[in-house]
Amino acid sequence: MKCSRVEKLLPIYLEDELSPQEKRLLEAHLRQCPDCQATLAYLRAIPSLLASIPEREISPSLQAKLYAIPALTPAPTKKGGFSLDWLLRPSFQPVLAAASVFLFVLSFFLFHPDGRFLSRSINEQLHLGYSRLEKIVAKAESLPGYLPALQESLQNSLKSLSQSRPHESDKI
Amino acid sequence: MVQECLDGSEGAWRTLVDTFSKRIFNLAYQFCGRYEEAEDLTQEIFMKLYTSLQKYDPKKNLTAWVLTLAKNHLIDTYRRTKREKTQRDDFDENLGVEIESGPEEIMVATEQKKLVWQGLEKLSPEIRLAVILIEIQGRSYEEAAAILGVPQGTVKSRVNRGKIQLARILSQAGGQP
Repeated sequence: MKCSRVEKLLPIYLEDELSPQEKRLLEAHLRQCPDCQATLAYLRAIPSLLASIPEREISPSLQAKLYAIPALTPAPTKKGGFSLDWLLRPSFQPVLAAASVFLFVLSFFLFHPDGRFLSRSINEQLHLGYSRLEKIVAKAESLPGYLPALQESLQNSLKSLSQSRPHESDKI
Repeated sequence: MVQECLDGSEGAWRTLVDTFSKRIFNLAYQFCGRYEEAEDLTQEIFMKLYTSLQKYDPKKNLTAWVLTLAKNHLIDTYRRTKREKTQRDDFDENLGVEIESGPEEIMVATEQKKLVWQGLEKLSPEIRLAVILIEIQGRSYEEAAAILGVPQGTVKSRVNRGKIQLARILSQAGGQP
């Protein structure tokens, strides 16, 4: 058995949890290896050395600082309580970006010195568009009055065509 | 107690501090090896604890939850600062030595304890915490496994590896076993 293997088995040996065969092999190695004997002796000593490290008391100043934490730290929010954390969620970022752009554009109309000219120009365009729309509607309304005249003119045209080309008018 | 803290009860927070401050401070002190640094770490852990109280699930064990939070902070801080490279320079040489012992015994015991204490910082943070919880603080494997978030078998193997490494350190120092 090699020293590296023995080293790994020593804590288990100390707990008496090795199989009889492993225990026999390990003890045979220990009899002829002073290094592993020393390691075993240190391993036996270590638990008491570690256990003898005493607990330290905390200082009154630290205790006072710990007591004061609620006064110095923002209060933790309760479960289900009102929170604005959703504003910072990544899924909400496009909405925030769109709102920022909208407010940026709006600021030109509200705060820019030439904003009134811009608004006047928009008003003019709107009125122009509205008057054009009105004209189109008026024309559309007068269209039924033209229909009989249009029908008559079309019929006259067809008649004149049929007289000039009798063969084709038969087909029609 | 946690709910009362969330409701703003100063008394409940003081009770929480009184219950866990010494345990957390000693965990931090044994982990980092320096008194003042352990004080800073303890304060940071309690601030984190205060702001995380709403995340506590009442069905879970409060002690294990608090100590797990402390463990996570210690390991995070260790990884951020790599404090293991510096020396433990504030070791109290009369730490825990019996007054009845003779002067030579005091010297040997102190020297060995100092070697073990300094040897702790050479262990990886996971192994070090397992050794601290089981061998120094005397906690059960079940409790240590809950705090460290690993199976009991892993805790046992970490403790054994830690003890072997410490034995090697003592052996290399050539002290009396």
